[in-house]
Amino acid sequence: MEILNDPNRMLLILLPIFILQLVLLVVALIDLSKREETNGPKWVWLLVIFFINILGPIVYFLWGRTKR
Amino acid sequence: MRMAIFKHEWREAWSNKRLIWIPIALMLLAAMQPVTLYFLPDILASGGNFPDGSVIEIPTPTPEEVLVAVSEQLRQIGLLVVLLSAMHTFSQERTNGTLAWLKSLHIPATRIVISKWGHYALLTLGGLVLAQASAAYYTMILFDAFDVGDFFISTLLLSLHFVVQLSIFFLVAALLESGVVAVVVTLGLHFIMSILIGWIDLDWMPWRLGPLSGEVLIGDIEPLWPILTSLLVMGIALTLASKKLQFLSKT
Repeated sequence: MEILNDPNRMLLILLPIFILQLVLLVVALIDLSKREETNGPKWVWLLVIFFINILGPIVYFLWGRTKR
Repeated sequence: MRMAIFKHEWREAWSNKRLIWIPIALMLLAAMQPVTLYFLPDILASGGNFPDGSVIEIPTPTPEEVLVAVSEQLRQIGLLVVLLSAMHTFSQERTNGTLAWLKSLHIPATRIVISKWGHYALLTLGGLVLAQASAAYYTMILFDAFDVGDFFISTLLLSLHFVVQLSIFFLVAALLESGVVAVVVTLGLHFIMSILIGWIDLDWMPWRLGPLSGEVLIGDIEPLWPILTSLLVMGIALTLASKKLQFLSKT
């Protein structure tokens, strides 16, 4: 795995994924902060969004929000 | 006025954040496949309980094989994500009375169905193009170059496949009370047909488009009939959905 020793290529691989994940996380957090009621306790969703990679925010978007 | 519902859908998609999260979710899903395949030998070596000195030989997949894996990933989990996000489309508006209100304004059901379907179809298309682009990026830098023409056709077939499945979902959602059941029915049908097509020669079926979007990368395909039947199914599904749309909740 010669790529692992090359920091520039490593950055090329990890940076896009990292940015996408960050956007997903931030958008989910903004949505959570604006919402008055969630499907279940709010602090649980905060933990889910924050600590479960990728899947956490997606699960929040699908099931975390109360129907308006 | 004609476009009012369609425009409203986009505004709602923005405030709902699905305009952002669906494309990103699809992109991550597509990007993960090449990355995992590339690091698979390392992952196995560090995670598996192999005795010291054992040599694991996994043939490096060709770029085409990687993209086939991406197409499979999108068809399984990506379709699930898209359908689940569209789940509440008619059921919720039926419960809160929006559909009844639209009907009282004498807005034709066709316009309601087409507006909502058009919105989701475009959103999915945009998401898929971005997802395929991210898969292409990672396949390029981690593996090798591939035939761009084949990849383009693969993306087209995949997109059509998604739009057909969305149309079927919209038909079921227009008929049934519950959005969850509509998703389950659509995915169940998708699952059963995918298996059936593997068993019997049903190469003309719309559900064949999904597998074809992978096969086109590796060999020659005959997509004419599946494309024609897909367009037909799409047309029938949308017409029926407009005719049979349930405006009122039964409960």
